[in-house]
Amino acid sequence: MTAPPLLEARDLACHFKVSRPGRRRGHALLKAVDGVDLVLQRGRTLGLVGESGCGKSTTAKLVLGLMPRTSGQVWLAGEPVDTAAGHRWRRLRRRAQLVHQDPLGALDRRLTVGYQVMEPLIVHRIGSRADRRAKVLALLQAVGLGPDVATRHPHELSGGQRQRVVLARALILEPDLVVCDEPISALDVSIQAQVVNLLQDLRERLGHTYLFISHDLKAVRQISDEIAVMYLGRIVEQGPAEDLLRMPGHPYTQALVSAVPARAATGRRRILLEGDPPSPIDVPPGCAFHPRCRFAQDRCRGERPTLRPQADGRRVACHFAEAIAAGAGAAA
Amino acid sequence: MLAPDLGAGDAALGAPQPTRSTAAALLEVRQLTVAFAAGMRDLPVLHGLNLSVAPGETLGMVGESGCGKSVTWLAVLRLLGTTAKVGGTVSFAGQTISDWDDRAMTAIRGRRIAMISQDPMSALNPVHTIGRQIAEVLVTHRGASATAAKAAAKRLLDQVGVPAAGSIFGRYPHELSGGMNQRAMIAMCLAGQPDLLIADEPTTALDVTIQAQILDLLRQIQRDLGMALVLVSHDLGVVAEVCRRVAVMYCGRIVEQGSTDDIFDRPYHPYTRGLLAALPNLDGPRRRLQPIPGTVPAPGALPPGCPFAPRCPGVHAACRSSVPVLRPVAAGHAVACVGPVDRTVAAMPAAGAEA
Repeated sequence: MTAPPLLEARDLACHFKVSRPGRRRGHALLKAVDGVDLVLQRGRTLGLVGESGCGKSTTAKLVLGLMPRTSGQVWLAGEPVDTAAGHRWRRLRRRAQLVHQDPLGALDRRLTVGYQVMEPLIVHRIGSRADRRAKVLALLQAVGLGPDVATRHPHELSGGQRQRVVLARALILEPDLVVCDEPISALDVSIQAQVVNLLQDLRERLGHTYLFISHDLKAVRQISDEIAVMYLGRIVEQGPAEDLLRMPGHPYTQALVSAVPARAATGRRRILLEGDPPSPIDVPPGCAFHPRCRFAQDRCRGERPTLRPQADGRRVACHFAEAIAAGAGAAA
Repeated sequence: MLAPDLGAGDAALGAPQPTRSTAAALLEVRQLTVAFAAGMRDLPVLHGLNLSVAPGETLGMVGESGCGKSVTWLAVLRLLGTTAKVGGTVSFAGQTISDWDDRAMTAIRGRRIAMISQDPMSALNPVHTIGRQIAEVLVTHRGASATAAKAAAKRLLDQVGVPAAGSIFGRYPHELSGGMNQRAMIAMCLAGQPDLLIADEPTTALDVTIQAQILDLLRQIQRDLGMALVLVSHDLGVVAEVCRRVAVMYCGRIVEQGSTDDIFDRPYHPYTRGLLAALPNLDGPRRRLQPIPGTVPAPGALPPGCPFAPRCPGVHAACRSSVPVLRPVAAGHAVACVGPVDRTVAAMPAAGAEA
C-alpha cells in the first residue's frame, strides 16, 4: 500500500450567514468555499490562484483546521484534521504551519525576534533552554539572518527580513506542510525574488510541502509543481503548472493568464472579461462563471459543471472543455 | 502627435544638443528637490530631479517603494503639505508654475493636470454620490450649469465604460466595486479635459482581470483624447504595456530613462538590469530568480557617491566618491552610472541569459 498523500481535502465548504445589505430582516448565505477537493503529495508544491474574494485564504484556514467547516473533511498524512482545539488538534499544529501576507502584522512589536522564533518551542514544550537557543540561531541562519537579529525588534528590520523571521518561526517546529498565504505580496520586487528563492532552497534542503496561495501568476509559476485556479469558492481548473499556464483550459483561466500585464511585443491575445466577479452571496446558478464567459451556452446557466479529468492529465470544470481545447488547438 | 517624442529624453538631461527645444515640452521639471522635516533636521527624499513630458506622450515611472516616484508628482502639483520643503522649478505649457500661489495652482489641478491615486475608495468622497462628485469638477473647472454638468457627467461615465451609467450616477462609493470606483475616478479626471493625466499606481489595489480592464481603458482614452499620460507603478509589466518611454527611479533620483524598448531590451544601469532579473516570467524557461543583494538604504542614510553602489555587482572606487549624473548612451536613452557602458553590461548577465 502506498503512503497516503500529505494533505487531502474532500468536499470542503464554508458558508457564512451574513445580513443582506440594505435589509433589516433575514440573512443571506455567503459561500466562501463551496466544494473544494485537494490532494497534495509530500514534497510537492501546489499553487492556489484566484482573485480576491474567491476563497483562497478561507481554503487555507479550513485545511489547517483554523476555522469551522460547513462540510467536508481534511486529512494530514492520513490523520483527520479537527477544527476544535483538543489534544489531537494541538499535536497537528506542530505539523502544519501558516505564513501570512503581512509580516509586520504577524509579528509582535514588543517582543524580540529571537523570542518570537523560539515561542512555538516553548508552547509545545520542546527542548531545554540551551537547545531552543541553538535551534533559533541555526534557523535564523538558514533563512539568511545573522545571530545579531535575534535581539532586535520587528520595527528595526526591513520588510524582507521580517518575512524571513515569520518563515523561521513557521519552520522551527519542523512542519511537514507549510501554507503560505500571499507571502510576497507586501514586498518590493527585488525582495520578492529573495523570498521566493529562499522558499525554493528550504524546500530542497528540508523537503517541505507547500500550499502556496497568491494572486501573482508569475510568482506561482516560479515555485509550483501544480496549480489550482479558484473562482467563487470552487476550483475551476487544476493541472501541472507549465501546461496550465501555457494552454489554459477553462475560459476563466484563459482570461486570468491573458490579463497578466506584459509588453505588447510578446503578442499575446488579451481576453478582456466584462464586469466584476459576482458577489459570493449571489453566486449565479449553473456554472458560476457563465455571466462573464464568452463560450456560455444554455447548459451553463442550468447545470453546474464538475471538475472533470482531461486527456492531458488536467482537470477542468467546464461543460465544453474539450471543444474549447480543440478550438484553441485549431486556432494555433 | 503620433510619434513619441524621444528627444524629450535628451532635453531632460540638459544635454547640449538642442534638437528639440524645451519649449516643446508640456511639463518641464528642473532640479526638483523635496525634503521632509524630521525632528531637528531635514530628510531629503528627492535629489534634483530633471524630467520632461511631451504633449501626448506616455511616460512610465518605475521604482521600489520609497524611491520618490509618487512624491515627485505630489511635489509638481504642490500637494505635499507644509512639512515638505520643495526646491527647483516646474514649468507647465511654457509657464513656470512652481512659484505660483495656491489659488493659481487650483486652476491647474484637476483642470490641466489631473491625478488618479492608488486607492479610489479613499480618494472619492464617501458622503457624496458618484454623479455629484463628477459634476462638481465640471461646474468648478468648466463653468457648467448644474443640469449641463449632470448630462456631461453621465456621458463621461459612459466613456469610461460604466454599464448603465445612469444608475451608477446616484450611488455612493461604498456601494460600488473597486474597479467601478476607479472608473469613476478616471471619469472625474477626464471632466476637466486635462493635458496631462498622472496615474499613480492606478491598478495596484485591483484584481488582475479588473487591472486589465482599467489599463485597457487608460490606453484607449489616452489615444482618443491625445493627452499626455504619466503612469507611476512598481510593476514593470504594467508600465511596459502602456508606456512608450520609461524612467527608472532609485533613492530619489532617476537612474535610467529611455524608450520602453531601450529599458527592457537594452538596459544599462545595474539597478534596471537587477530589477528585470529579479522578476519571474510567465513564459519561457523557468530560471532561478536573481535578487538584488541587500536592501534599499533609508532616505536619511544614503551612502556617499552612487546610492546603488553597496548593492552593485560592478562597483568600483569611483562609484563611492561622486554621485553619477544622467548621461546619454544612445538617442533618447540616458543612464546615471559612472562605469563605462561595456563594463556595466558585462557586470550582470541579461535577464534571459542564464537558463
